[in-house]
Amino acid sequence: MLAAADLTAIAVTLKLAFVTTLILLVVATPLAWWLARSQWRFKFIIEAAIALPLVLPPTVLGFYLLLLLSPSSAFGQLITEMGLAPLAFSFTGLIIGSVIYSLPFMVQPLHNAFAAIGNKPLEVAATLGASPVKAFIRVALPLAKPGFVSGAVLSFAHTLGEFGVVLMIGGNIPGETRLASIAVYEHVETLNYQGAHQLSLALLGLSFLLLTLAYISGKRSRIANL
Amino acid sequence: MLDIKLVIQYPGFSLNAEFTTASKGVTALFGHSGCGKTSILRAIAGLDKHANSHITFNAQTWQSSSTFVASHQRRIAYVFQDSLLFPHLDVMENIRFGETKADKSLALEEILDLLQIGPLLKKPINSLSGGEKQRVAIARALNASPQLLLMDEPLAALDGKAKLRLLSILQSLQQRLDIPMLYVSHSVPEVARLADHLVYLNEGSVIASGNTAELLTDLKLPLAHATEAGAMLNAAVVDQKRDLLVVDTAVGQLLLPAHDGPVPKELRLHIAARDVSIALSKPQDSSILNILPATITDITPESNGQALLQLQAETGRFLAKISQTSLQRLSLNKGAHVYAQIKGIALFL
Repeated sequence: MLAAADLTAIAVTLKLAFVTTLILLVVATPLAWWLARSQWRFKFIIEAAIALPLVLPPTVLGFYLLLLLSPSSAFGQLITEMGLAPLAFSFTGLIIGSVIYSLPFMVQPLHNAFAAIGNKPLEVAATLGASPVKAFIRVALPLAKPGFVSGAVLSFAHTLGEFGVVLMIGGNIPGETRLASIAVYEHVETLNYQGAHQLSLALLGLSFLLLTLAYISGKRSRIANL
Repeated sequence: MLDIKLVIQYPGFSLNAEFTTASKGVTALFGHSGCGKTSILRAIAGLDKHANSHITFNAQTWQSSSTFVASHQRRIAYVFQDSLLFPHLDVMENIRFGETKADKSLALEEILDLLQIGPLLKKPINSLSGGEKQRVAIARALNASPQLLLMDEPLAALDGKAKLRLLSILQSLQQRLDIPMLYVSHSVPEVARLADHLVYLNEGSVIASGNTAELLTDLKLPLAHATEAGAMLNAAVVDQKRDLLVVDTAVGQLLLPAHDGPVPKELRLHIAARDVSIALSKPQDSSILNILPATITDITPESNGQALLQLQAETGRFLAKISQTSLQRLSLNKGAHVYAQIKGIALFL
């Protein structure tokens, strides 16, 4: 069985993935909608910036985040002046890092889903008297449901697998910033192969389960939308 | 009343159209593909915005140099060529999408009845046939209580049988509806059957507009030269004998073979030009039921050795297609008084 410390690490990881996914749903939806609908000619710059975490070594992203979040940066000083605890090596800091790190995994499925809807259903809604807000809620959101499902699952799973960024900005505080991936690394470092085995297997099972659910729901909604 | 002045410029296409439509009844926007019919309809719906265009509807300005009313505030409903039902909603949810509490001219039950939706209610959207989808789309449009109904070739994507069924539904709808309808089409029979008024478009401009019956029989327009060319007449049933219907029309009283089933008081008839022949004196020994005294008001030669005559009888007009040989043999000229023998009359029920 898993050790209590490892269970705590899994709990922190799940909590981080859950909170990150929720925040991403809120942040990425308007962003993806704008990307899908905007005619702005320089919008590719924004698209490239959002996709950066896909190609950047997580340590690079983590390094910049570490600079940003440290109490000596302008942003860090602002946080301190507002009377808040420093963000580096805190759970909140991890959330900020994860949201940026997993942003493309939420934005891209949503962007594709919104783009796939096209203009027509929204035009139909408008000619039936629906305001743009009503058309978005009653037509665009439900039609983009497969995008929301895969975006949420991918962001959740991607945050579970986060390592490099956490290593840079999170450290290894049990119950606060010690994630399952960090714990596996630590077990290996200390030659505790049995602990590494158990935790790795748990993560493997969890990730596989999540992705299987994602593909099942993706298949269902595709059938329903035929 | 819809008042339109529209200027559209695309690369390789320009349209400059100005017309006014009646405040009741069906106005057909007629023309060949690519003449700009759909562009006009989209501009009226507010789906596209063009500079230098003016659209007013019943004293509301929808578009001018300083105003642009968004689609959802125009109180229109638009039936697209491909019905575009919402795939995530069922039949009833689709129909109720645009439902408002505002003045409803047709109750939901009435709409369901008119469009024969009953049997479709339990079916999944993706299992509906083309004709069924279009019926749901029309019901959805009507249930949004529009003040103007726009239809963009709603029959174009349907096969023969489904087309005929929807056409007769549209005809009964047209009699029930008290809002104006703008109907885009490139089919002469459809227009003859449904439209009271006609706006004839060619290459981005209006070449004629007015009463459908008059434009269909105007020899200067291509409509009269179509294969299915003929006259459209509104008819009132005045008597119903055992095997004959007696109807009053603008060209005089006509006899029609009785029809099985109930016959409405008002009918629309179509007399094809090729079903009308000409005699100089009244034939006494003919099997043909309908022989009308008429005056030739216009003559044009057709291809294949045919000639097209425009005939005036009482206050109405109709067409006759005869051979050039007959034209010369009977020495027919404009102003000649003749007898028109009508071999067949199509009844639009």
